[in-house]
Amino acid sequence: MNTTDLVIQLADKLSISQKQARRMLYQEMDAIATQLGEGKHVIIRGFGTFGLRDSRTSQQQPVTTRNIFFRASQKFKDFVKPWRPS
Amino acid sequence: MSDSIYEGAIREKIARDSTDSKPLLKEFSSALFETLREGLLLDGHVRIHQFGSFKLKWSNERKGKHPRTGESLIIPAQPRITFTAAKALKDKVNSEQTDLPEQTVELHEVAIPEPETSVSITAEPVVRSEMSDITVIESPGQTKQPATVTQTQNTRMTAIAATVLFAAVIGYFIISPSQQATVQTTDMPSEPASHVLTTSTSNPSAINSQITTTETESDTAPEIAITTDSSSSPVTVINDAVAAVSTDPTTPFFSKRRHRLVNGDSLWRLSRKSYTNPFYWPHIYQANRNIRNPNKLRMGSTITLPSLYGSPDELTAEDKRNIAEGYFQVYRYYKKTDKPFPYYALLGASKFDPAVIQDHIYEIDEQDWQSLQLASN
Repeated sequence: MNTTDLVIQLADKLSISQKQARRMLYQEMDAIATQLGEGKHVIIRGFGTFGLRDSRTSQQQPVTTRNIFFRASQKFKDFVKPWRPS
Repeated sequence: MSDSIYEGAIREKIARDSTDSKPLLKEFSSALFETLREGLLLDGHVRIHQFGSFKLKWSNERKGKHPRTGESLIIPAQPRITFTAAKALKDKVNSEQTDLPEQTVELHEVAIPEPETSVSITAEPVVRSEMSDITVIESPGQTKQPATVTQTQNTRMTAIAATVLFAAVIGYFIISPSQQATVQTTDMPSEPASHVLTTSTSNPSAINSQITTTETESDTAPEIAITTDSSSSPVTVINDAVAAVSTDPTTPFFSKRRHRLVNGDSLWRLSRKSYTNPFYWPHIYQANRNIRNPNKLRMGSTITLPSLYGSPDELTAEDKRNIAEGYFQVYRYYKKTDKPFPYYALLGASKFDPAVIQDHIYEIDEQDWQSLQLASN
């Protein structure tokens, strides 16, 4: 599933135009990214948590970048339980 | 760092600078994460452009230890959800991070590269040999900014002066007992300051002529006629003037003006905003022949919002006719593009002015005519 598939499905579900769905998707993702950039953890109920982790490999090495992690919520994990690799 | 924010709070932030309504935003985000979950289950991977991709990976059964008690146990095989951030997201997060701590410590190091980049865009290739000299580089960037600042200050100052002087001029009319004057005023902020400055120094008769000239010069700005009554006190004068504006049949309820389309504008919304009734939207449509599809407006283009002469509850015959014409144009467009149920537009036209239907009766389809008859009975 890519962005376009997602946009098509969202537009269908909410009966809005695909253009609007795409705009709103980017708006939402942008907002999450902004909050992450401010050093906050973003918690989405029923989905998971986005957060930042310092990419330091040793105590001496200074922190240069921050990595983004995602931890799925229990609900999300339970939801994908039936999945099997093809 | 361990601060956390919930999706509801994020939505509040989005709603602040978005045209979307809050219920829609809420519906959207719940639908979004639901779709993401479903998509991941069905496809095994979901990629969001410029954000990242979610993937399902299979972890086999393995031995592990309970994190608290330390007893060994077997972790069953199960899918694992992974997320890989897109480069755009990483860059965004890290650029915003570097801004914060460097403000306090490394101001000098940050300050120098900024003028360099700004100059390298504007500077000619000849000057490039001088780029190593920091004083030369910094001067254009620094001199430009204060200039603009003083300019904005100047305009603000003149605007304030204009409003003050204008109030003084109006006050003069109210105070002078013998004067029975009809003043045509344009919208205050758009009034050029020079005209007002000249009026304040000249005598009353000159003021009158001066103001009429400004009125003729500004042709696009909406004009409101304010009639001042000399016999009553200033407060009641203003009240009378307002009453005169709303009841005077020659003064339109809404004066014609131009509007630049911004994101979120639609004819429906513009009509609701301007005429308080969204059903008058074909009125705007018929006044703008450059709009072809009324459901699709081009952002950034300028349209005309036509005058509404009567009040929204009591439309004049001309208003009704215009709106009906608008509805008929919508019918034409719907018929041309094979939109379903074009007779709805006809219904609108017949509601506002049945004469319009009679005028264009030969353009109406047999089927639509019958539907219209059925609907109106």
